[in-house]
Amino acid sequence: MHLLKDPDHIAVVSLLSGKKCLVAENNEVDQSLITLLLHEAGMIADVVGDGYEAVERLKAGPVYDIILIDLQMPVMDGYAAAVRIRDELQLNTPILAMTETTPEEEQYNCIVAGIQDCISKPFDLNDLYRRMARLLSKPYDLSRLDGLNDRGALTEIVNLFLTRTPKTVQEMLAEAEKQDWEKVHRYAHQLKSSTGVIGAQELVELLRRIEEQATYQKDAGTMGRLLRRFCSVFTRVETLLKQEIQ
Amino acid sequence: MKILIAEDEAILLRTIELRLKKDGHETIVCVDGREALAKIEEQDPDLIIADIMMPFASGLEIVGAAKRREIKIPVVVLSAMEQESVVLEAFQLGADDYITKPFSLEELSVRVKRFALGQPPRNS
Repeated sequence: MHLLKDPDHIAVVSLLSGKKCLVAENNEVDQSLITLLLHEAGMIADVVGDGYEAVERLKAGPVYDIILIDLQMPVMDGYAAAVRIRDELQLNTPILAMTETTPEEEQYNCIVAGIQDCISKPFDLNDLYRRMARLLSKPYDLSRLDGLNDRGALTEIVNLFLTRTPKTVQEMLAEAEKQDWEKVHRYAHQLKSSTGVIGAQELVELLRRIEEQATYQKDAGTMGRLLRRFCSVFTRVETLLKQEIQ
Repeated sequence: MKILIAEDEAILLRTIELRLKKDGHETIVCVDGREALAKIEEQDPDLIIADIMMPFASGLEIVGAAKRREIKIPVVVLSAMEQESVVLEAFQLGADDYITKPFSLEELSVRVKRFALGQPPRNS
């Protein structure tokens, strides 16, 4: 259980240490194992037995840094709980799902439900730590722009992003309102380039789904959910980027 | 090298421009395909970097134009991940290299450097 003093691991654990995690898991053995792993990383863990209890716990008020949720649970599964956490409780807390199926199979539904990442069970503890740390870090990665080697150029690009992107987002939303999916697709495609520049992975992922929806399924309900999720993550990215360049 | 960059997304366009300038290249920026087609004739660049999906004229049209000239200009196409079939089409038209978005600026720089050294990737 004790890990080597690999610098990468130290950085990951220092991000996790002291963070509060809500665990929704119905299997008692897994409950204890997960609690143990989270404690090992210095985290505080609260465990509930299904999605319904998770929603009720969050409704009651305690604030968590991250939510770890099993996708296959009785009463209310992970997807349904995530949808309620995002839509009803309007919480932006990062959610990592656990599944006994393959995560690739679940990925599409996860993104639509507002779940950022999915890990397969049984999991490797390093993988679990790394994924949680990624969800707890900034929703963008400016290291892609390190290649500019210049603080002024970096600020210019971030400013360009902050002034131009909200307009494109507004235009995309207006076209979605009119259900003009072809135009929604065009704006989503454009946004994928600009959000890619600042390494906003979740936004890129959401835009990819929006493009797919606009091309194939064209389901207004799913589209609405994807766009709402996009907007709330975008607002967060915007706020943090503004602080970054001040 | 004199490099023409055609990309309709302003932030990405500026990012590429800043990096290539830093590498000591001269840059010509174009915000759509039509502007690119005009500037290829006017400015005679040494290398073209073109996005595949652009208004007015696509990256494919740009590859076509660059290869119809007496002295052919090498072209690197930029594409999104799900556009692989279009990338094949670009190669058939004579594109010399491609980069999938999102990419790192280091990758772009290294790929461009090969053209500057006269070592274009061999894809035929």
